[in-house]
Amino acid sequence: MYAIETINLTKIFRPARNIFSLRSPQLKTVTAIYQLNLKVRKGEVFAILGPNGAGKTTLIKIMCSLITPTSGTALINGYDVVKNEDKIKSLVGLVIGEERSFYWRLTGRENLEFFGVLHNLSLHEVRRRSEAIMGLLEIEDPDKRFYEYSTGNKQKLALARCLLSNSDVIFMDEPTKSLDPGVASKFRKFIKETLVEKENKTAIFSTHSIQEAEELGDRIAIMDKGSIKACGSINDLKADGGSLFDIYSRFTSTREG
Amino acid sequence: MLFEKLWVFLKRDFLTASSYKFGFFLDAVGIIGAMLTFFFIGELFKNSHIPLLEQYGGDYFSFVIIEVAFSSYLGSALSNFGGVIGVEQGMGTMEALIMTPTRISTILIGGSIWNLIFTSFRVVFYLLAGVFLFNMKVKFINLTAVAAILVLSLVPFISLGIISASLILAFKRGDPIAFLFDGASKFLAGTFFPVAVLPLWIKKISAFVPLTYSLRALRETLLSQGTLRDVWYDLSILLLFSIILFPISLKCFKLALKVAKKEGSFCHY
Repeated sequence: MYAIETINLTKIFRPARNIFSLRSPQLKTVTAIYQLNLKVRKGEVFAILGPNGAGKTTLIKIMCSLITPTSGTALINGYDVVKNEDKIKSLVGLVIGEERSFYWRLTGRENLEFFGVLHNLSLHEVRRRSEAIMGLLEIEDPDKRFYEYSTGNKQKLALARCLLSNSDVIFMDEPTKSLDPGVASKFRKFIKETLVEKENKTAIFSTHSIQEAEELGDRIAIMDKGSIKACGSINDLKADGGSLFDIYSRFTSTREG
Repeated sequence: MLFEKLWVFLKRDFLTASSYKFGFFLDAVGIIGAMLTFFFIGELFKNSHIPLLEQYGGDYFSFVIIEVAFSSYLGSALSNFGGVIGVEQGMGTMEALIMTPTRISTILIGGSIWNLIFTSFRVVFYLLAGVFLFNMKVKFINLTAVAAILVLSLVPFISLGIISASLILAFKRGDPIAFLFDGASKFLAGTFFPVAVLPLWIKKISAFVPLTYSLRALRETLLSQGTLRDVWYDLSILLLFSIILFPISLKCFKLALKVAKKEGSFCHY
């Protein structure tokens, strides 16, 4: 059984029709994901590499039961993300690159306590675990209010929140987006060495950084316009010759990187 | 686990509210300011014989303070759920909440507890300030009747609040429920004056507003020493509103959740 499996997964966003849109009937639908097939093994670090608008975030949100797919199937450890939503919530953790996902007037510690209890941990257990995780991630000043945190600390807190729930499968949406190179490198090392190699988690992250995908991913899927253009280990992808940047450029419509 | 979850919501909102200490002070000043306004309007009519106020003890100040205090309580029940959704969407925390194995009903109730407690304090503050600072006349209160009125009033208001939250979840803004039932119903239900002064056609519309029955029953019990028997008609209508509105509100919310998941718009606002 795969940690993640999608079968012909499709997501089409249709603009909401209301009284005001009657005046502009030329509303366009957006195909975010189209007939996507993907298999990720347990204990793997899987990178989804693609330009902005490729459908990476939509794919991750579907896998976390935050968006309903239009058609096709998505499974986590064999559980359907639409039919087994409650089970999915206990299996997956999501590290959102968005710093707005915390309460700014609360301290880092208070934020962790709040989300930990919502993850069905007792207050006592949350305190014990969050203390250990904050130490592991070297979160500075856990008793400072969240708005006083540096970007790096905010990102670490997002990962700490995800680790609290002890999920099997961890999704990270552009986890190092706003981190400086030094902190980003430490962050990647933690994911690879501690989360995956020691704790045997499955980690899936989206990125538009070729360097990050290459450094962290056991396998890489190059995604563009809602579908996977190429997928495999770095050696597989480079088998035809050229650097990962050349391959990425060949398969994607933009030359971002 | 449910109580632990509700507790962390309460703690979160208390910590957030208490981080804006000046807000508490401004709120108290606002209440006293509003009471002063009503007090002097009352003074204006003090020696006038107003037949429509006679059945409520003839004192405008007491009449209006009870209306304002309790309608703010019911208004809070109405706007709480929509407020919870709106705030979480605005802050960007909605997806992080939905990702936890916590029922959406727990998120809504948990996010409303602090507001309900705070509004209860405001009601008590209104009444105590009215009695001790403005010599407000409150006669013997039938607590059973008041409790029954509050409970039966809260259900239709909470139901409307859930419908309001559904609209905010699905359409993000432009919530007509809060406008219609918080704003218009204060006028239709006679918050600042007895409904009897309204023209007949407006009175007919006010018959469809739950607040009309809540306030009429409260006035009867708080100002005219009414008992449960005296307010049974109003209580029956409130019960009818509850029976109709509550299942509709749950249906609306399920539909709104489906729309939000289809559009992927939990964090849009």
